[in-house]
Amino acid sequence: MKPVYLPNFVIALVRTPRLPPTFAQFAVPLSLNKLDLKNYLKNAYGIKVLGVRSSIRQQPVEVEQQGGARRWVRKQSEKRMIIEMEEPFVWPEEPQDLTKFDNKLYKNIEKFREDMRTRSMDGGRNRIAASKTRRRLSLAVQEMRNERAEGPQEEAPKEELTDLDFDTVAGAGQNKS
Amino acid sequence: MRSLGNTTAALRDLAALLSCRNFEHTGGINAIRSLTASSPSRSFHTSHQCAIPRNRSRGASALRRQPYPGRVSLQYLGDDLPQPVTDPSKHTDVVTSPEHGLWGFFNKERVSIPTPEEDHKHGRAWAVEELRHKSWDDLHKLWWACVKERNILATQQLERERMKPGYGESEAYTRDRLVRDTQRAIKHALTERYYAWQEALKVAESDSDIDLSGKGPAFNPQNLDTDSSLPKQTSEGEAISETGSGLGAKDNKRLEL
Repeated sequence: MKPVYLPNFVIALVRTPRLPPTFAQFAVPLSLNKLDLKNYLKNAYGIKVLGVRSSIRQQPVEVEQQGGARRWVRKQSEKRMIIEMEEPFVWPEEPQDLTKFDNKLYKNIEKFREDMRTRSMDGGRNRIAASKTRRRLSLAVQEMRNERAEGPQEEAPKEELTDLDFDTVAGAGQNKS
Repeated sequence: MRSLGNTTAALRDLAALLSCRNFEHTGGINAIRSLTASSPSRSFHTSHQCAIPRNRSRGASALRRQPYPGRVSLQYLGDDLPQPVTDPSKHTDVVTSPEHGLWGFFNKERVSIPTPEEDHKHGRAWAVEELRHKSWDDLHKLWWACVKERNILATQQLERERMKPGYGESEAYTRDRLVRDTQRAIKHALTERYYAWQEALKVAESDSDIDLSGKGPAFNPQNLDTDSSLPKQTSEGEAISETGSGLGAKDNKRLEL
């Protein structure tokens, strides 16, 4: 066996609620094999691996826009490996409080982007009504303002900042339409 | 010898032929008898009906000491079978050991996704200048710390892509960037060390004081100072001890950094 002193690959643990607790799934590079993973987990993490199953997942074909030209591309395949362990392991719970991630602002902007995407799908002929996007945007802004009025005063500056950011985005969208 | 062998083989063949004929002959007679004995009013049963009572121990295994199947009831009603619990709330909780190795894929707080604020709390990457003075063991340990940190970040990133809680990707990317910078610095320091060793080897080959054959001591000074007096030696010793203490102090400083 050839010793590797400076391994330069990354493996990630995947949340698998449907698997039994004694199983764990990893996203690994394509070059890794079952014996490599078993040895790696044993020596680096002290996990006794009873068995490994591996699979390579082909990615779907996607359209890549290059200016006016379109190209069909397929991303590189992903390799996943499922190991069986002696001791069970349950993942920690998902974060409940999403305000620290600015979830509201994130979702609003994602919605706006999605709307812009669907509108640009008709090749700039404006067949899809722009009023729907504007309506949803204004509703989102209104909701945010209401929350700011009702919410506690300590968080006011931060809320104002997010509101301001969103206003500029909304204004840009309205000007274009 | 050959003729004798041939004759014995021929005799064996003949015996086999005879026995075969005998068998065929009797079998033929039996077949004719059975044909003549069968009446036209015979019931339409294709299975063999045995007039002689069957052997009682038929089917019993002499090796495994099993009784023959006729005496054992293979019927099982399954009244005392355990029922599966389909309600997940009634399942017994799985206890994860706090020393489980898979916790190595999570940060110290052991959360699935850290908030952007938590992710932003980090220092800077190691510089090459700091790593030049480290031993190989230290560099190796630091490399493995980097590898594990990158595994943690990759786990969190997959979870973030799946759940989409909001922002935080940028902070995680910055953290990953710094870890990779540290890894680059480690390789930089090691490459420099390797080049320095190569240069030293070149110099040593032309130096008459150094023996590279591997037999005996590597350093053989040819022209020693024979007229060195005692006080001079002590002064040298002092100088060495001074430099040693100075190095120690420097090392301590770096470790504190």
